[in-house]
Amino acid sequence: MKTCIALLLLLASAAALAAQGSVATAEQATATGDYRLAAQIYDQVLLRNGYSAPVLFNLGNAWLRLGKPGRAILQYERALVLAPGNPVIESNLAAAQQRAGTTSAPAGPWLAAARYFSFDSYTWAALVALWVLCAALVLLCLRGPVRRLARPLILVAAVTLCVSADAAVLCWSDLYRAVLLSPSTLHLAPAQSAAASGSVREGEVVWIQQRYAGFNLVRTADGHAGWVSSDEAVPVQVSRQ
Amino acid sequence: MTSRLRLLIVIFLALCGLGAGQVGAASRYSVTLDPPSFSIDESSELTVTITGDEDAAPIMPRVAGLVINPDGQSTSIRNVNGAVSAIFARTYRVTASHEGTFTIPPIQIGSMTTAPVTVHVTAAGTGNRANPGGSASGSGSGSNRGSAADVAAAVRAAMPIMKVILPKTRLYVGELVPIQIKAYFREGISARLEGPLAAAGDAFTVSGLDKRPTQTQEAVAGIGYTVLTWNSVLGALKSGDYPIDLELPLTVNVQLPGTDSDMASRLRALFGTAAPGAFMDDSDFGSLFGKVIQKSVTLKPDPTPMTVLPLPIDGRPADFSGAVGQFEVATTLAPAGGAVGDPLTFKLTVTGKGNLSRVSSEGLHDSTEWRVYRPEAKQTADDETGLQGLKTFSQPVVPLLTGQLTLPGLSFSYFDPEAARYVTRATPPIRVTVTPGALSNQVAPTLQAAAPRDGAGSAAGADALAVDVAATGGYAATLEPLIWRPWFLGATVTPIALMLAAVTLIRRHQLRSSDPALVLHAARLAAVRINLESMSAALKRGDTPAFFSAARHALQERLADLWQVPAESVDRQLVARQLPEADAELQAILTMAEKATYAGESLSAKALQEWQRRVLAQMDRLEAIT
Repeated sequence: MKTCIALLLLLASAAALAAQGSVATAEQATATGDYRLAAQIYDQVLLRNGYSAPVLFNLGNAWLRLGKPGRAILQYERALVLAPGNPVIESNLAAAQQRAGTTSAPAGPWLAAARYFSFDSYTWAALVALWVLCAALVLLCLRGPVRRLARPLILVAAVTLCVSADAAVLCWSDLYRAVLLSPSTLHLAPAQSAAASGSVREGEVVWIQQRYAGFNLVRTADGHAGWVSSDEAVPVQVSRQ
Repeated sequence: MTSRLRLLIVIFLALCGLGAGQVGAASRYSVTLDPPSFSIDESSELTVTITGDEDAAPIMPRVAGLVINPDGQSTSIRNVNGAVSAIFARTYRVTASHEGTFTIPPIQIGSMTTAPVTVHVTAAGTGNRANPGGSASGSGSGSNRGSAADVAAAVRAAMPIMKVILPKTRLYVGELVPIQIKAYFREGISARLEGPLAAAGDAFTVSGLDKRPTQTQEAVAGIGYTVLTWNSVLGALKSGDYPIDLELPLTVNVQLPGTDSDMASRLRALFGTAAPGAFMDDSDFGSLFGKVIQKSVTLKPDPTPMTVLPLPIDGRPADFSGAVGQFEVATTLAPAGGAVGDPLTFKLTVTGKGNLSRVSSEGLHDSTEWRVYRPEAKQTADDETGLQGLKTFSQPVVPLLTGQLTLPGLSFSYFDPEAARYVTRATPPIRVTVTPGALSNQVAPTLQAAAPRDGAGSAAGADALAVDVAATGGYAATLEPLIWRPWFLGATVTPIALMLAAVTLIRRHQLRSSDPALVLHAARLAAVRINLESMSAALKRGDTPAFFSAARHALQERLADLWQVPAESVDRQLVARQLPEADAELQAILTMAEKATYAGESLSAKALQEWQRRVLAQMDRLEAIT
């Protein structure tokens, strides 16, 4: 057993070291202006190790310097999922949007406040609050001094659950956000030969409504809807590539 | 003007003594065919003239080989020596399906019929429309009318003329030239335009024909004319030799000889209708004082041969888009500088004379320094014809880097028809100073509180982006939200299920503990257990009275729980009543218990063990009954 644990720790360390080596190479490529090489390395790091806010941020920078603001915006948006509200990421995201000629959809004060934490943070908080609430309800059924703990626990857990659920509902649409990697045509049906119903710009953030046969039905910030190829509208929140 | 109004005017004039007479005193009908002989590729005009009876409608007979279609109708008022009459003319277009001589049978008009009309149709290309006058005519009584030649001569003399004035007769495909189109109308002839001047054929385009022509007075060879002039632009569409084919549909009112034109002129002067522009469509006055016929004609110019040359292939620049003329190009940038990310407007202006509609430009293209957007074109004409003007291509551009940037120059190629060669104009590059802008002030060194590592991204920071950061920290396996992961549902349902289970158990326990029967039952079971333990302890001590006392109490508690009676009330009599079949063994135990308790009987340890076995056997039996 100890041997297995040691082997696992060794493998994890080796992977971490390999990732660090790759990232160092990518940083070196960035420093020398070879942004394409840097982007390739960062992509490989994400593929092997999963998502990391700094790696996503650096990858976004590389794409932006390569003149691909759509891809840069996608990486910045993903970095913000892991590090919500980070001013540095938001600064570069704004720069990328400016270069793409797009803007963020205006958010109301409640939504802006809700975005202070990530959606998963609210999910975790709600889950813990649910466990505490259930335990407190059990305590409430018992007799004796332990019962005194139940009421404050229920109050705290219920408030936490309500606030977290409300914030999650406010941020719900963020789960379906996608970024256009290139200027695209909105089609009336999920086929390239279908008539156009509009167009979307590179880097524009849209909301996926439905998926069908390699196409996504998306809605733009100004309310237009249409089908675009799923290769063009890439969701922000996805599993490992 | 309607016929009723005309009749009112006539009545008014009659009352004023200017004329007297009756309208339509006697109905007369006549039929004319102009020309009576025509080729198979031409047509003839059949006119049925009805004098005095407006409501009479001719019934056109069918003639094998001829097609007779209605072509219009007109009305006029004639005043002959004070006798005013209304003349209604219905016109038909006659075409033939084959050569030969045809006879149109008498046409029935009300109760009257006209004379038959003979039609000669000749082979194609042998028509003789220049010899009008051979018309057949008839009256209501069927007699021929002899003034047809005079009418034809009057019509020919009244016909307007069209001329096209061109600066040159050799053009290149795509070249535009100004042209003047003039239509000459003899003074005293009124006409009405039935449609706009239009270009026929597909070799040329003529723009500006839909505009209102200017009207002037000119004298040609001593004859006064009213001249309509269109200033237009001619464009050549395809190479080859083609005449300019224009058509102007109009209706000419022809004053026939012997009518009172002087009176009509006086009336025009009196009512002011002789003003410029009113020469058209004043047939009402003319028709009041003489016979006026309306003639629908399509005015065409004399054929003017034009030679259209193709654009040369040799020397054609790659960026040539079809612009033909003489042009100049210039570029501007407004504002002249800015910050990174600020949109600037780049303008390419093409000015000159030619087909501006074919002037196009792709504008600038994306580069590492600039992000550019699709240009928007706007064309502005300097003159009425649109031949001269400017075309502007406005293109938003956004600087991506700071420092001294350069917007590259653009080239524009066109064909100069005067020099007969292609010309390429180029604009100089534009130097732009781009400042870092507001975004660069917000640049933070790292994502986290840690400082960025030296070297990594320090150079990249010059492009107003926050620099790259050290990629430390953990990696998330997925960006998929928690709620989409399979285990999340279990993690949500589990506490709820556990809580429900725990609450159920607790409540069940609490319910049981609060039931008096259950409580009594539990207490009796506890008493049975305690007494059996006391019995075992007495056995070990050899204390016979204590042994049987404990045994009796254990049995009493068990039986009391079974029968729901107080334990003290259980005695041998009750046992005998409740359990007659088990009476012997229980009675023996209870009797022995009484003896040991009250008589002080003492038994050996072995005997006590035997009694313990018998007591326990009865306890098991009673528990089975329970």
